[in-house]
Amino acid sequence: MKYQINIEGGFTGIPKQFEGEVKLDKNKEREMLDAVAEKREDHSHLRDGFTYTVKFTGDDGVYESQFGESNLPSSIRSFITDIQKSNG
Amino acid sequence: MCTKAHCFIIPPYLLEKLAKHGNNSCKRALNDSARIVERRRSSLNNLLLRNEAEGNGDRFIYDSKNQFEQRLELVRKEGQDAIEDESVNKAYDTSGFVRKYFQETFGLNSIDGNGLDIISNVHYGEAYNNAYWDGDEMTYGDGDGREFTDFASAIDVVAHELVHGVTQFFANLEYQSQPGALNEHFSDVFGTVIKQKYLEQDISEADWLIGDSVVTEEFPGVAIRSMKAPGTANDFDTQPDHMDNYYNGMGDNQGVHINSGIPNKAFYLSCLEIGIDDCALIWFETLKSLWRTADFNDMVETLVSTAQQLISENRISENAVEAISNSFSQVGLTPIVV
Repeated sequence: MKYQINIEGGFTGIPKQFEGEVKLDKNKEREMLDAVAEKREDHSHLRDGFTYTVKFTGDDGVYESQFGESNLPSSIRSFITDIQKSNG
Repeated sequence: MCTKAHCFIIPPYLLEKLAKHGNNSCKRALNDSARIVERRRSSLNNLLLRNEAEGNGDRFIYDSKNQFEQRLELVRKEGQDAIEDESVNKAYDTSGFVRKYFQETFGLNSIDGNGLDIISNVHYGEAYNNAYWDGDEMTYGDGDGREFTDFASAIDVVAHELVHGVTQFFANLEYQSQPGALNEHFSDVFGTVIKQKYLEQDISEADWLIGDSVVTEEFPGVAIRSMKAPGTANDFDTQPDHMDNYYNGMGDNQGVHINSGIPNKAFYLSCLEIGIDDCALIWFETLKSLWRTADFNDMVETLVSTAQQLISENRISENAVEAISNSFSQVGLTPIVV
């Protein structure tokens, strides 16, 4: 699965971009794609929270969505944390 | 004549016009209405109705234990002794310093003026390079250790986040475009004022940097932002210091952390002319008079009228209006003084 993640905003205001490809088993990949496809509204008073723009390209198409701190699915957050660690 | 009761049935666009003409009742109604709508929508969304806080401005420090969860474990609360965790103690001490500054300087009882409890979450997430205010509480990451360190340990970061709370309760500036840049500006203003008080510096000794103590030696810069020289704090710093270089893009909520450099520079220049204490008072009183959609010109106009009022009460220097006008003219925002 190909991924493209843009993180912007935050106290630092310094944008970060991660792009690459990972091998996931079919169930895990489905879970990630479903998480991105699900609409979650964010009406919070967040100030200095990050904005996460996540784009996944799987076998069956392209999935893209934008999240804030308060509505980022935990599976996506874990994925981003792992990506950040591996880029460290 | 517009009473508070009448204002609630007046459409928002009319309230905004009346607020711009100095009607404080309408400004309050406008901000309160928006806040109530947002809170109700948020509460319904979470299936949780939150009660209005009636605390004593007490501090509560939670340890997120490097998970992405808030209020995971309460580790220190108001009046309790220090513990072994320095991040916890720093968050406790610095949030207390900010609370004391607003209490002693402006008579403000906690963030909301009504004794709201001050809740902090430290050690949030893994290698999390951020600190934020979420409408109710502060949350701080430890940083990744490569470029950033503990955000809870920095007085200017803590003050910055707490002042997002103050702004929410007193002006509720929306978080995009110019109102959003003003929201960031007020947090940087009081972040830097409180940092100078904390370090017992005067303006000639101060570095006017924001977030200098959360960056490591590996970080390509000396801080996150500079009030004195916006755009120079690090290799990624794109803050303008003049309206000629205003950012018009869509990123960062239309540049809330970028265009704040323009009023930030004007604040620095104003402080050089009339001192940081006069400026802090003018800016705080101005914040109380602003409204949700206020832009840069509204801000300058309100600063001038606020300064005129404070001069008439002999509370600030007589040259404050001239100093503010000159400072904002230097960043491309020339006020009309009547």
